Amino acid sequence: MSQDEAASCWRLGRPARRIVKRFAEVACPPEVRAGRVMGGLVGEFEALLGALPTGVRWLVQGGLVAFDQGARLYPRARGRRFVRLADGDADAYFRAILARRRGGLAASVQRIKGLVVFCYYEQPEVKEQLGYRPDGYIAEVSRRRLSRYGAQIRAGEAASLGPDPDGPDAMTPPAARGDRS
Amino acid sequence: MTAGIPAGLVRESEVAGDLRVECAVVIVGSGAGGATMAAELADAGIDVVMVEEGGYHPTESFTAQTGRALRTLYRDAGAGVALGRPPVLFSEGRCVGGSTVVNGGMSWRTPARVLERWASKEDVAAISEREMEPYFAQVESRISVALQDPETIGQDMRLLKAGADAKGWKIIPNLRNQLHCAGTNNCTHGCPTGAKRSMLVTSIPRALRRGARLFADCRVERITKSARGVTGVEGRFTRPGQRRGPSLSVRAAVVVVAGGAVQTPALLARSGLRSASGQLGRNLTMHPHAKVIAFFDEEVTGWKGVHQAYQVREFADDGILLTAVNQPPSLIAMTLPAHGRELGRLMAGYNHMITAGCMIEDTGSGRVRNIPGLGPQVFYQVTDRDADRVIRGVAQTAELMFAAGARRVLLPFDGAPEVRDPSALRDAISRPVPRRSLELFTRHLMGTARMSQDPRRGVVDSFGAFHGVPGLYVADASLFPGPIGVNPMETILALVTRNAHNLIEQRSRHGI
Repeated sequence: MSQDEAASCWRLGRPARRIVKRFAEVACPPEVRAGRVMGGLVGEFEALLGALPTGVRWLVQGGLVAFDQGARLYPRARGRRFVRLADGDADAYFRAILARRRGGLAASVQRIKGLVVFCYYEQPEVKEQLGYRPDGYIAEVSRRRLSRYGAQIRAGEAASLGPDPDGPDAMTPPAARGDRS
Repeated sequence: MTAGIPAGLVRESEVAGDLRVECAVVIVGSGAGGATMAAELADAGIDVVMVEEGGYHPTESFTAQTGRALRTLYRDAGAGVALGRPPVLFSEGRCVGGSTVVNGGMSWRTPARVLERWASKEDVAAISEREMEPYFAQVESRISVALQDPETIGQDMRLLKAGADAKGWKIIPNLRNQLHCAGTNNCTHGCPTGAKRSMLVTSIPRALRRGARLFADCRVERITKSARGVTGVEGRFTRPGQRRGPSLSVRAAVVVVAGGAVQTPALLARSGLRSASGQLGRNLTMHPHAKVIAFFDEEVTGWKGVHQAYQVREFADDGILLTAVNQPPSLIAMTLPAHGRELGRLMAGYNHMITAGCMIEDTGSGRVRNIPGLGPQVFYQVTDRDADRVIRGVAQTAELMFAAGARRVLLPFDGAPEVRDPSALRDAISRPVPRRSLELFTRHLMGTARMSQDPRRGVVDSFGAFHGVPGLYVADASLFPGPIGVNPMETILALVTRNAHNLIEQRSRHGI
């Protein structure tokens, strides 16, 4: 199992996943509700959290819960949690928190927003919509590189590895080979 | 051994139980410093073991998926934070090849004025431009330092140059460690062609071909020592899911620490090693960076073409460099001051954006401390002078973008509006910008085990030997006595090559 696969193994609990989804519906463009984007976003979010230090991971989860429950104190929410707010109220609460100049919750929500938005724009459908298609471009310029410079590349790669260690210079100290030491 | 894995490389999946290994020199880290040291020592026939905390990811595995790159190639998914006012975000590579796998590939020699300062004010021996010349020449040859082939220069870079030319500002093509770079613009996700001559494709295979061994996925927990000096290192492999794996114990006459300016002082300190200078973990410098996002009418598609073909050096005497660095949509979007529909509207212009920025040769300093339960933590205070220069650098970058034809520019000040012309820019900059509102980041961490011949000033001597602890060396950007004002990789390579040759000359003293 690769490190990346290992990171993907980490999962949020069901309540936290629900908060992330509702958070994404407010933080991301409306297209987040289309097709399989939301599922991919949550998977990416979990994989990213899995790669963060444990302390940061708990801070993010704590921030999500505080944001969700904190809505109860927001007048327009009339005692409801963030996940239960209608779109307009959820957006107003989100804006109100981000507009705070000070306080841990505002900073925490700002960072979580960054992570969620990051995960949205990592989705292949979203990249495609933006016209960001690096894979085809990379394949094309990689071919061009090899066709134009193949021989020079092979020579350069061999030179950077140095003389064959099984050859006559094998295991000779640099000074003895006349190199500067 | 798995097919496709170089001989001498061992990953956690190939280790069934605890391992005990003996060698002449053990090197902690396989980045710019560690891999260079390993290759030089292995060239000299010395038995070397490298221990790398990150995984082995070959060239064929690199893609344009940002999330995957952050998870596999960077420490903590690239989300390091230096605590201070404002905080500075930083990222460090954590993989075989270290940060050289994910850097932009800029290869600049240490400026002569910096070397002079190190010699005269910091008491570092044999560091003049003339004495360093052969080492710079050697590393430039090893990693193929050259200018870009013209067909790889993209529209974002052409616009940067057009803006600088329109302003009459000095702009120079970047020297990069690349062998006919294809211009994939994937440097920070790992070069998918191997054209960027990182340690992964140069010094590491070079060292392995000469008999060196490399243990990947293994975190060194402490350096072992006796009354006579160091005796080796102890570490532990990390299993998937960050579970503890088998232990690794390496006995060696010489220990070289090359984990970078955050991890190196942390490892030395948790191993109980102290510097009489009191400078271990202190003197951290980091070249703070800030970026602007400029929107153009024309399509830019900044992801087509090489990463950083040019640098604007007009303000280099003031310690400010400007350039453009394309970023993938996910990384740009996460920093935009918008959400919902407004975020979608801004991002719809992704192919019309240029991300440009400034880098400051800093005057502030910070510290790395081990905090129980949290591990190494970084503290850094931006000085008033540096904050002023960041604001000036941001204004210069935005001005440059307008000169190149930008229609609007977003500034990196928390809550700052976008500006639509140079006069609005002047208005925005003329208002006080609170230091805490600056959005800063960096990849250049330096100076936490500084060199000096004087043990009262430096943690290590002029050649990286830890004062007062026989057999212990440092070989990374921790060595720098101060910031250098340019991308640090080539300075690390040249210094470590020089220090490796010095160690080889003294090998009999260490019995290796």
